[in-house]
Amino acid sequence: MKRALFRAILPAAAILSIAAAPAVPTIDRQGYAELIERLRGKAVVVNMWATWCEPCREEFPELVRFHEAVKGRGGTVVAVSLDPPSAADLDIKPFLASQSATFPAYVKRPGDDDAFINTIDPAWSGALPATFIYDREGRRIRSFFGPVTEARLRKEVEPLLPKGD
Amino acid sequence: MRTSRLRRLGPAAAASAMLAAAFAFAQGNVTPAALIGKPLPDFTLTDYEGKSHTLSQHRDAKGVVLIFVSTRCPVSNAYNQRMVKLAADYQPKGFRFLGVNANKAELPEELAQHARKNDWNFPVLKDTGNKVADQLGATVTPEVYLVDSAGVLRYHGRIDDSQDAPAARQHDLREALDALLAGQEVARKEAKAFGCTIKRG
Repeated sequence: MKRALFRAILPAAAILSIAAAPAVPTIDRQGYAELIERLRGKAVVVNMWATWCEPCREEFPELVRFHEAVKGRGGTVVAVSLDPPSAADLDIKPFLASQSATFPAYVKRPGDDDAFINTIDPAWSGALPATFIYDREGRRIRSFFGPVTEARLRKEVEPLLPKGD
Repeated sequence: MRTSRLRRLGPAAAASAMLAAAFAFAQGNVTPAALIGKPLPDFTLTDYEGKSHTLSQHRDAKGVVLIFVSTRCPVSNAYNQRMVKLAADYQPKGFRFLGVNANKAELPEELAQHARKNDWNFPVLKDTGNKVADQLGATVTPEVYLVDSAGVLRYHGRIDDSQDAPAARQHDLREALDALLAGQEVARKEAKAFGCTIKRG
């Protein structure tokens, strides 16, 4: 119902930006490990979310603001949606466009949820939202279970960023 | 093994460990995995009709299935029919099913309406102040705790491996129930899944 309403009121400009928005590739446990490896050198904030998760949608603007603050300074956000991949075009991309989110976004490949959760953090129950911070060596240094704020993320991540000249 | 290590360390260390465990319960820092194989702490909650339910009153059953549920979580709601089917299949075999709702904003009237709408065939208890959720380390909906007739936690986690019922391949709760019925060890004692965070008060 909320999704239908969301689509109905989506302005034309947003529809154009959805069409132009990058694809939302699928990711699995191995792909996730490879992604974290590829991002070595950056402080990385990974947000696990879903379009069906109301606290995730409410939290999202905080992540967008945080990303805008750190993206030119050695930090980035990565969003991993736990929606089904079939939701990529219908729900995920429109939501990302509505939030003006410019960071990389993925949707988890179905199956293997237990192993995926435990690989990322054995203390994580699978409850959404959840956010994980990796340092520039690709080590997970902090986990948040539940919504986070831009201020909290900046407090955790600022010390990880390269020092300016 | 843990017990023998405590014995070696002496009564002071054992008392300290018990105090730490009690503190963890009090703080809500319990991880369900640490409770597997141990008796769950007893509790009493009332259902949405005001009827009182105590976990230990069900010791005459083959076991009790506690499921933390939500009226509003799409994942929990995706399992409504499957929970009803599981209860219909296993309550006649001697198990009891109890839903537990620990979400602050979901009040007893809403629970009653939701249960009637979905033809739930088991009571739903209101965990006001999420005291039981804290004692058990429950954080997500839906989340299952299966205890045996002695009150020992034998399985924790998901109902099955897919929110989309036809796509489910691993029916973890059903397999755990079948193992208990057969008097066997539960092969997979914990399996996690994505779900909604329990909104604590």
